Amino acid sequence: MTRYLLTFILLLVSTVFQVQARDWFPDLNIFGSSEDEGVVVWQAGQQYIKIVPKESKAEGKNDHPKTISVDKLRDVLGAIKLQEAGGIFSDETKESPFFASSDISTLASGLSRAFERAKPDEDIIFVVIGRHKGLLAKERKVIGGRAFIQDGKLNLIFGDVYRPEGGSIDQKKRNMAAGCGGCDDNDVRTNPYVVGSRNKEHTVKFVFADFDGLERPRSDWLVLDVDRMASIVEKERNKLPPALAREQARARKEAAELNLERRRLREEMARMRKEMKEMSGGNNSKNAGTKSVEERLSTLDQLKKKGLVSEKEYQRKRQEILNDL
Amino acid sequence: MNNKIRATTLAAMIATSFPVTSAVIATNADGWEISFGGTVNLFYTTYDSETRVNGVVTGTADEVHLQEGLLPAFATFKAKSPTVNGLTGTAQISFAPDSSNSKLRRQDKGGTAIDMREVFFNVEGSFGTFSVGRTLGIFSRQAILKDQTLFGVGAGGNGDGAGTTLGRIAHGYVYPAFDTRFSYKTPDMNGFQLEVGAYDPLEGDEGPIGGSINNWDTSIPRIEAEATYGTSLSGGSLNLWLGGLWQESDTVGLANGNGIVDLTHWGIDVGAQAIFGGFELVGHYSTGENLGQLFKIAAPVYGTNDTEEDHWYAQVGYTFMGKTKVAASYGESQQKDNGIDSTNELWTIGVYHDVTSWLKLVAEYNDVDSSSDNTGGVTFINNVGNLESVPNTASESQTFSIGAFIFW
Repeated sequence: MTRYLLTFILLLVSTVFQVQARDWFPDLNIFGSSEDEGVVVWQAGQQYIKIVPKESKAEGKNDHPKTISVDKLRDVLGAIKLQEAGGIFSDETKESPFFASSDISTLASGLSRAFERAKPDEDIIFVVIGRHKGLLAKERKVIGGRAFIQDGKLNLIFGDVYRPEGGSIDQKKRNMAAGCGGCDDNDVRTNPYVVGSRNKEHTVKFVFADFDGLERPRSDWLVLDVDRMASIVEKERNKLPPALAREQARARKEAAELNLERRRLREEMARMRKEMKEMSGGNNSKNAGTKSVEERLSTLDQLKKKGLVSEKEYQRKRQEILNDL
Repeated sequence: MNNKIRATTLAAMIATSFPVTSAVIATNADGWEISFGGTVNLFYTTYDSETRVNGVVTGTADEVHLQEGLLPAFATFKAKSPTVNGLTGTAQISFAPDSSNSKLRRQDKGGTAIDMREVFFNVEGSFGTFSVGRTLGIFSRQAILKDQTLFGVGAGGNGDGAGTTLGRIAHGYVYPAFDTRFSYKTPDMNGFQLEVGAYDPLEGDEGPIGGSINNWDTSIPRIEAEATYGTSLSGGSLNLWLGGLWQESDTVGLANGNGIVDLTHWGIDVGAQAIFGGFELVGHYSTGENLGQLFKIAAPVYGTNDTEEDHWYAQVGYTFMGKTKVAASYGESQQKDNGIDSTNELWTIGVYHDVTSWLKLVAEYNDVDSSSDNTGGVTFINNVGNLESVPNTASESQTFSIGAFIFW
């Protein structure tokens, strides 16, 4: 009986402690922080993009809400590169993308939405897990960060950079060695992913490559002139060798023609479906048939006005429609 | 399905050169990621012991063993699906060979048998995780996962028959075992998680003194559950857990043939681990009935009343420079079985040094005391037909071990 009582008391005490501890020990931050309570813009497993209150000692107001297009953000995030040594036998350095392509897609779309919704006293924090270059093959690695717009510029402060997905290596070893595959390797409750902070520098062991419009006030902090960087990326995109530019232009023209042809086919199919429907109606009145012809003539006129059919095609189709009368 | 594997066997061959990061060694055309991990260990152990019956020394030992510690070797294959419609699938198969062999035979422990410990798959989504198959049991698993002897030897360092030692199993907690189950785990709810599993019920092999294995009848699954809370602290972390176990069994022929006995096996375990500035404190306590000292399902041997068990241990450790952990712990496992009271005690002091993220060196000293006292005047009929009292037995042993682990 004593042990039942002891167990019950333990349960009661632990429950009360867990409920009350946040009030009793506010500075210890044992039972979650305000960052845990942010507005979730996007979440998939342990990855997220959240709007959270700005850190307590952070200076200045953010320029939120702010509209930045997804395309622009995609260009800017893609322009962030790391500078790496060329190799054992080379003094030259080379650059590699900082974000994985999946990170860029996720962040561009999520941050764009978050900046539109955030208030001046709010930041955006994120954790993304992408497949990055590993020693043998690609590995899933974590980037955690904080984003906000101040003085017209995008600020990115990083916490975890290229941290292997999941909890501590010791935890993984224990789970694996004990044969506890059912245990959570990715238990980040006790070893959470770190987003950046204005108040505390997390030393980033990687060197960001120079880019016009990119400043680095701290090793973990990037300030990005979005418009400037995006325009440079756009120019770089357009600055192609003539042969490649001609090839791209030809490809674009062919794609446009193909699109037009597809559109015509879709319209023609729609017309045929409509006709078949009318025919299958059985007791269509003369009136209904006449109306259909009117609609078709009207549609044909609209297509001609928009330049989607040539004069020759217009006349031929017009005659076909009138023949149906 | 196009399973055109872009794997490299080279990756698997040289994976041991790199840290334990669950590197993906292959992906197939459907986006599944395949990884392979594992560990091997071996210890050099000196073992001294003395056994007593009714206070009279009946045996001593002074031995040396080259054997694995609490853990066998592990080879673990994992597969992880891409996330489709919010669902992520994982599957895992791991087997556990022995690096040590028997002193008695020129063959491995079980001949050609391979100890397949884990065969399961998970389906994870925003609703939580459903898991199906066989892996480490839920009840008491936190105790073994936080135990310093997981990467050491602990008790049972006299394994002439090869295989693993006991670590702190039966000297602070019961063995969680590898059992088949369906389980469900909630998502993280502000640090809280709950996992509940319906298990294939275990059927024990305890029998009356001099008797044989009994017939067990288990008509409903065993339930094991665990609630955990985890959070980070400034410079540390805190883990709390509360677990439970329940199983119903009908046993035939227990306790000197006293007919059918309905047994309720239950257990509760609570524990905490706090890490702060290099220090680590672990405390664990479990109590229950018909659990046994070693396994989590047992039956009374000396009568028909339920056995009562209490297990606990406390551990303190400090990690220097993030690489060298020094830890000491003490624990007990007690059982009361119808007049026979048994206690196992274990002191452990160990140093666990990570040379690299994949190589660990271990030095460990263990002091074990075990006793079984006939406090109830229990008797049995011996093999010549005379009534005899169950004797008081005791043993003590000291082991010193040095060994190494490799992880990939």
